[in-house]
Amino acid sequence: MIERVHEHIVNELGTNARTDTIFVLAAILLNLIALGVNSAIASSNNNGTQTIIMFTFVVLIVVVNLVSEIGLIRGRRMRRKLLNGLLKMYKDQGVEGYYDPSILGDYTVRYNLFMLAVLVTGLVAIIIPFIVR
Amino acid sequence: MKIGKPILWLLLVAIALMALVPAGLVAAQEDDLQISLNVLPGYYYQDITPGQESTIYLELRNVGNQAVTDINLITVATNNLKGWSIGLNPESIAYLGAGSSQSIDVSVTAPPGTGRGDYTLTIIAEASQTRTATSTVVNVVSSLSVWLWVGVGLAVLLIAAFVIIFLRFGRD
Repeated sequence: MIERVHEHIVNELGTNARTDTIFVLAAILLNLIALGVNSAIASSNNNGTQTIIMFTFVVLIVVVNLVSEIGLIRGRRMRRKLLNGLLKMYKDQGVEGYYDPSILGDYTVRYNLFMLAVLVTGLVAIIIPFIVR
Repeated sequence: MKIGKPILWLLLVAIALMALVPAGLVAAQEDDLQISLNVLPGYYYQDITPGQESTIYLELRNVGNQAVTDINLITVATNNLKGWSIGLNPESIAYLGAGSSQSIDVSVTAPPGTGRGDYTLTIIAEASQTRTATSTVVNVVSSLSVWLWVGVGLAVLLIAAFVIIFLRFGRD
């Protein structure tokens, strides 16, 4: 049974990693697309319609970035819980020496860096078009 | 149909006379009332900054052979120039002799917040006998406008929302 649980945890970790990767890539890609579209709008002759489109994209950037951040925070928490369970299991089996618990801290740093990358591209996507305008 | 000899001779003489008389001789006898209005070199496609006055120089020239009197200078108000301040100096010219010219100063101020891009400015010189018009393009360049502050404000809001979410949901 313990092997089935181990397998389940490892599968969950894999799913978690894929979901977090999608969150990060989708957020950065959408930020870059919004940056391109809004910069093009801002550099052309401006009118009311274009301003509305620009602000719609700004709202999209804000929503996508915040959703991505919440997703990453949840993903980080889930990974920590799964790894804690895995560590406990290794401890019970007497093989905990093969798994360094400091890995948990490294994952936290990595998640924070992902969030920072998303935030910075979001900020660039918001500010640059307004400078161009 | 046969054409009689005298008529044929008359036609030939008329054609020969038309060929002999220079064309300019006929034209020179007519009154030529013409004025031209041109943007001076270097002032076409001028960069202007919203809120700052810029001057464009034009030249009004009498290219006819008669004096032109009471010339009024006007600008064409188009929708995309709403809120712009356009001043002409002088606004009218009482007398412009044949071959003479007069420089016109056009002071242009785009209102603050005007979007960047090209804007066409049309000026008309109108006298009772003749009229002419010219157009120039002014390029509104971006200034540190209110839009930059809007962008900065939105960025600050995004950072604040990020920090709040991080503190609120980030605790393990």
